[in-house]
Amino acid sequence: MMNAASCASVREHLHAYLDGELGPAEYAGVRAHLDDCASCEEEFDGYRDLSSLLRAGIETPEVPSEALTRMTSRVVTLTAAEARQSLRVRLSHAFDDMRFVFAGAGSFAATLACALGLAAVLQAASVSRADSLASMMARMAAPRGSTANPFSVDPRLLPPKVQQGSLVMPAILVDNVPYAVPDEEYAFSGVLTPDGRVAGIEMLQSGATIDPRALELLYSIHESRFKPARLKDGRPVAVSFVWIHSDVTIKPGKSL
Amino acid sequence: MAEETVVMKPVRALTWSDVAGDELSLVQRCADGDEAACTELVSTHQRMVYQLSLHLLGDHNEALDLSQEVFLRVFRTIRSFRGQSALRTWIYRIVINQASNRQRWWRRRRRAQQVSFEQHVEAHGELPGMRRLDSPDVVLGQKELAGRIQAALDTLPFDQRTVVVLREVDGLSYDEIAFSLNVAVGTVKSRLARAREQLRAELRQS
Repeated sequence: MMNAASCASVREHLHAYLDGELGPAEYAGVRAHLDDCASCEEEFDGYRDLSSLLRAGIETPEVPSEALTRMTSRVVTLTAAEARQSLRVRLSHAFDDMRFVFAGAGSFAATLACALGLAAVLQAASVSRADSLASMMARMAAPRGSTANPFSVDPRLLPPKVQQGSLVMPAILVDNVPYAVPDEEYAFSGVLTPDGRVAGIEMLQSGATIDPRALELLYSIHESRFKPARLKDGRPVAVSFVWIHSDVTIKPGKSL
Repeated sequence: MAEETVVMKPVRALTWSDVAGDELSLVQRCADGDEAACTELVSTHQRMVYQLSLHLLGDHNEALDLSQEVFLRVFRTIRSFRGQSALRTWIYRIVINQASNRQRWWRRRRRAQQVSFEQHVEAHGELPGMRRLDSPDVVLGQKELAGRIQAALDTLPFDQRTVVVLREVDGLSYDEIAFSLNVAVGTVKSRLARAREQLRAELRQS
């Protein structure tokens, strides 16, 4: 009699031994154990007899030849008919195996998700957004001194000048308005193009609202004409600018 | 000991050569819609399909109906056969899938007509020699034996009954059974062990 561990190990393999599913080494191990262990041998004999009983006892049914012949004929006829049937029915059979349907639906969903993601990235990178990466790249790629890539005003440049008579700042006379106008400061930024026009002007302010005076000022600056900034060689270039405007209320003296 | 009845597992691997030649040619012709090839395929495998269906479902008409369904399914999906197994094993797999779907409601329908193992013994009396299956002088009438074994088989869950039939009746290897059931070989081993254990207990009763 071998030890209990060996018996447990051998009994795990008894069915595979019985069914001829063991490799040579395992087969030899089990066989040697069964030669020595009456308990395991009895267990094995029980399964072997059961197997013999099942093989002998499970009826091998008499095959109804005529019925099978009719079935064969029916299957072949139906198969041939199916092969000729319409596309619609063929498509419905495409759903017979749902694994392919799930795989196809998954692929479609993944492709759609990728396409939407790509579209979102392209939209975010659009040059129409001034703060986008694409816009920054476009600015850097533009020639230095062009409107898209202006100089900052510095001592190397001949500064731009207002063309005489072109800038008309709105003047407000208190007497003409029904309310007192407080003194204000406005700041605008933009680009002065090489042909002396103002481009991309916008108001710099922290508040959310723009009062009518600011709009009037912005319009006046935009419509003004300038002598452009120039390099030392006289070539006109674009420069960026910040325009600060202060309203000053001038009150008449007492003598008036 | 029974050395003469026990064999070692033959060392072999399934290759294209196992399913090459006539079988692949037959499959290809069937896929192309050759009616003679379809007839040949059905004729070659119909006996096996019918018998397995009958063992799994236990009813002649159901087995015939299932056999027809199986072959229709075979021809609808034959283009997906890539020689990943022998054609016979691939057809086994289809039989088991279809039978598994069908037996769910069929089992419910049959349950009312089935007699339990105990009822069967009561009706037919205790059979001689069944107390010890390992007794060498077990002699049973074939019909009684078949009835008793069928009653014991009916007590098994479908998965376990299928493994027993595939192994004991059709003589499939563990690998073939695993492919037919679409499970791992380890699962086949455990199902077979549980099934035999239960069958032995059932047949030892009374």
